[in-house]
Amino acid sequence: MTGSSVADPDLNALALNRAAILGLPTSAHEDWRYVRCDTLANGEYAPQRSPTSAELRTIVDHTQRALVLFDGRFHSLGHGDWPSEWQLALPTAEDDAQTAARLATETDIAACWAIADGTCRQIVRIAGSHPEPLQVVNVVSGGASGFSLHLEVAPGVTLHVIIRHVALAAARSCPAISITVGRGAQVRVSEFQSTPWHHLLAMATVQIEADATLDWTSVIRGGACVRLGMRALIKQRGAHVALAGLAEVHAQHQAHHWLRVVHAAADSTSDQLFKSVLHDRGRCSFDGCVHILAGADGANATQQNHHLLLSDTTRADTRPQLDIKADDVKANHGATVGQLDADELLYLRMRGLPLNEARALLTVGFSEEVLARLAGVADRAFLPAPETFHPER
Amino acid sequence: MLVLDNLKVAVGDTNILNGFSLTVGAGEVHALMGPNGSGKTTLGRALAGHPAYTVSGRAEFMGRDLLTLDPETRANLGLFVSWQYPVEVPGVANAEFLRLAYNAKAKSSGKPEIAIKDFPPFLVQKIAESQVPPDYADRMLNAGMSGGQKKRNEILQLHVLEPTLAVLDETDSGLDIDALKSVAAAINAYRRADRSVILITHFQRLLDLVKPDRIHVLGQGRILHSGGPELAAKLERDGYDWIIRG
Repeated sequence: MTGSSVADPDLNALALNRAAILGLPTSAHEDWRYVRCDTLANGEYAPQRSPTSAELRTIVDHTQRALVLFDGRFHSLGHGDWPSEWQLALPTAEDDAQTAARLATETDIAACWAIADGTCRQIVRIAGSHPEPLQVVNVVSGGASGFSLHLEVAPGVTLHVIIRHVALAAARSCPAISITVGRGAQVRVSEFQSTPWHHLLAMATVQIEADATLDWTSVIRGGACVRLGMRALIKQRGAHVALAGLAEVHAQHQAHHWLRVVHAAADSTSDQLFKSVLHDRGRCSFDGCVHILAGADGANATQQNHHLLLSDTTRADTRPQLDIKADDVKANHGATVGQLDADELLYLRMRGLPLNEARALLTVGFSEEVLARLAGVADRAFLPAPETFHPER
Repeated sequence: MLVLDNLKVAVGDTNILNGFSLTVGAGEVHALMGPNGSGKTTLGRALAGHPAYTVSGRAEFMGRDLLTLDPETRANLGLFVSWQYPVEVPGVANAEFLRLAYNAKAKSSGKPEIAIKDFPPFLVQKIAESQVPPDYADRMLNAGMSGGQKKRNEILQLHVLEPTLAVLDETDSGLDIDALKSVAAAINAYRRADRSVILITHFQRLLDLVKPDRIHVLGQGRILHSGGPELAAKLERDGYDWIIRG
């Protein structure tokens, strides 16, 4: 069982060319309107270097089986035996042709950078269920890098994927992760980013087939500029997608969620819950749209976005959208931007909690609805204490 | 324990309490009754330190000037004011909240804090004392609870925090017959020679179960009439008109 890093010069050139046509993102671009993009244009990144084994040990402990990508290159499989149910493969000529066709019309700059800056295009075929999670660790040491990873989950398989993004220094990384969830399969994804100097522009593309379930929860704890993009296509009847995210930003960090969920099949459901906690001069946004196409009758979609502002100098934007072309559907969306509830705060103080403890407890309570979805995920313990993700304060 | 003298409380431009005076000694139970809007709840919240209230006059608790203290200091000094409609706090676990509140009080009074591992058995004991269902340890703080359950959850808080003075605001509202008996028993279990209670209520039924030393009737922002426990039956029969109209 091996992995490898294979750059395709033709695809790199195509992606670079497409990225040049799209241009550096600015707030004038509709899909980037809430992102402070100057940090991308002016990004001064650390030079790339090789990892030390000590560094890797702190990121992937000896008990973990992980797919480690270092500066976008396939690095190792982590430790332990790689389960036989997980089969690594390289893209075929047909895969490359599809990628080239997609690049020709790609509208997302990060998806282009993922290939333009990338050397790794990896496919993992998940042929059977395995009790342990598949861990994908995206480590960057500096510069700009990207990679493409495609997970092909066979019908009926149960899979848990844990994705961790780690920047060892100022760096831009553009991972493009795609997942095909086969008929009746159940895929759970838990995604974490908690390093402050990371310019992380991720784009996930998922397709869900009949009666399959995808449950994806992301937690962003700071980052110079983090934007998690998601395109979810519910292709067949009876499929379900649950997407949740929590972003907490301090200093001048920014975290953005951009989502497009397409119901292309009848009797499908989607559920979105995204929350953010903003301190200092932090900035967060949610830009999500649920498209229910003609013929997707019986679709049921919910979309919720809530921002909690903990300082007067933060900025939160929200744009929940529904685009419904079918007649018989249920869809609702809602958004709030607010501060801690004064009554809740008073209640805790009236029971003796000092103001700062009361505020902290209410903030945890606000976040818990999303964090509860990570129940049983060992990485929840990985979540760093706040002081470790805003060291420049 | 508590001395209130000529207390005036305004909420915005509206004067709610106007010359309220009351003294509560150690171990005493006082009941506050009166028509809706007479200021009973306002009194409790003013004592607790509601930041939106303008309070003047004298309010002394345990020898300290209550009006100079923030809400958490008042609480940690031993003042517990329940809410007529306890706020729901989704996402905050009841047990975690109780542990933090217990430790905040312990810390402020120089007593040892309780460790995380030691709190569950302590809480089990308090749940038994306060006669609430065992699953309250696993609930969120008032979230998803009925009105009566929230009131019972506050009785659990009372037993965990063991304040010196409990101001219980319509704790009997929303309770079914059995729950009322349980809550009354839990209040009686809380009573001690060095602990006092102010019961705010509309009904004699609670006062039949928790015997007050004194009953006071509020009107026009102050106490208009006071009497012994027998006053409850008269109020139940005759209402407040004979007092309000003088």
